Amino acid sequence: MATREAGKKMIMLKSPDGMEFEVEEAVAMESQTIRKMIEDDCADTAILIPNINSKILSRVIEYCNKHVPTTGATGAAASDTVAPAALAEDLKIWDAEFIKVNRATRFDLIQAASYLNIKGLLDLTSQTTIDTISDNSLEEIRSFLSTKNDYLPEEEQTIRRENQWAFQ
Amino acid sequence: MSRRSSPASAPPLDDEDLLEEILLRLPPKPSSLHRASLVCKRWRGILADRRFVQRFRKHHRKPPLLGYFDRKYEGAGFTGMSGFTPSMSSIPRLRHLNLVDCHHGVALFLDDALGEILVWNPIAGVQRHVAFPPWLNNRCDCVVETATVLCSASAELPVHGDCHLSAFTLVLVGDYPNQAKAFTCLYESKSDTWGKVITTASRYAVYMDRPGVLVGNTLCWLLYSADLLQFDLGNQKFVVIEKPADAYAHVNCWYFQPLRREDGGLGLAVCSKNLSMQLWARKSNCDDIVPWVLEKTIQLDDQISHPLFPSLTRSVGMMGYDENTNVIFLCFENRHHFMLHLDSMQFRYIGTKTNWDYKMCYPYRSFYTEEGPQ
Repeated sequence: MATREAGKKMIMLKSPDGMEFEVEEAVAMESQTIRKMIEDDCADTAILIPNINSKILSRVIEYCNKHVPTTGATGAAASDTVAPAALAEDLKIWDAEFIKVNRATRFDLIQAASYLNIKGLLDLTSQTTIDTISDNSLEEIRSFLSTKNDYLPEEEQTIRRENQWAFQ
Repeated sequence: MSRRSSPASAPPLDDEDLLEEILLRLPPKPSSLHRASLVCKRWRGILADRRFVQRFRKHHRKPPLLGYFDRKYEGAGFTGMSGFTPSMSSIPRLRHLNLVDCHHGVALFLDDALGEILVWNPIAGVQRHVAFPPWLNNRCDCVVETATVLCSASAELPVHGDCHLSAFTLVLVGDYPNQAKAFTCLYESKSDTWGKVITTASRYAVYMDRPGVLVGNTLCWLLYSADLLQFDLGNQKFVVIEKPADAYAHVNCWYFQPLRREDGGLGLAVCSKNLSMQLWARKSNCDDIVPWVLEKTIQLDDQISHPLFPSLTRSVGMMGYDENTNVIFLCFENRHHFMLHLDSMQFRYIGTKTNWDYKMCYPYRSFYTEEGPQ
């Protein structure tokens, strides 16, 4: 996408707790939900983002800011000048730092990423959650996710028996 | 596509769509869906859902390496790397069969005595017997050397191999020894028909210990001369590609392996007897002359730091190749097996077999999800 040389178009995002965030349109359009609003001309001067509080929304904007494809002075993609592998590595390190948050914040970010349809953020938050639990025992997973075991002992035994190799 | 509800309306993970998003990221190894199913009934319901399984495969794209088949003097075996082992006993006449290929989660055996090909998807537990093309019957002037199986992908079944043998293509390859010609012939399962035979001049036979490598829309096999035989699945061009003129001399086809390079192009690995390996790339240029370029030469014994890798190692054999990851299977001193990832140059030790009868291994990749198309 071409960058406007003279001044970038800004839009206002509003959280339900009354905070306003002025962001570049390109950054906001990392969210497919907002992109669609803008493209359908539904975006007024400010877009209200329902149910995402200012704390989470600011984190989401921080993520989008970092991940928006950057353009150099000549308009050429920055990846022409910086090795794509180095760029990707830099983003990976940044992502790993970004996602060092507590469980509640991470779940809020998953919900926000899903609603705003930001694939990279949804990947990052969901993958981190799965990585956190995938080496744990079933009991640990249940307690971590506050999920109750609703199997009868005999039902659980049957499932284990059917795929014994998976539980060794 | 998920329904996008307004966030924070339900407590975290009580939202079915969000939970599904998270569970999609479970590792693709065979045990993970089974284990996660035991967390609670709700999870099991999601994980067993056909739509979820298709999304899961699509999300992970590349199926995990479940292990490898190895061809034995009689029949074949399987070495598991993920807990899953296919039931070899479900293969009739196994000791009479010749394992020749694994692609898209499907293993392929030639039955020369019966004049047919056995196509087997061990995950789905489906087998198909396909008779050789009728024109081959009672011919003694041509020899079937090998075959390659490819499963069709479609919008509905985006991952190759998901068709559970409802739509596959067989590419049969052989030669006319007295006419210095190689031939190929295609079978389409959908129409249950063999196509016309296509030939090309080739003085050498196909070396059956190198399964066909899928490079772009072409299949490449190795010839005994170490040149390559290439078939274009699109325009049906069937040609011989000469090996690089400067490839190691004094080594035979055992030391050559066609490659699918990281950039998707054709490559060739050539080992020397003193444990160095040349990596060649086939480059196209505007003059339509496609030369081989030597990309790098590596000294294998400098790269491996493993206690089992003794300094006295003198011999290396090429045992198999996984085109999905550009990993080559190497065997040192006829015993010690390593996987070498050619893009990262990382070695992984996979085992030592004392009674190894120096046969090829065929890496087997598949998702282990029980659901199949109806």
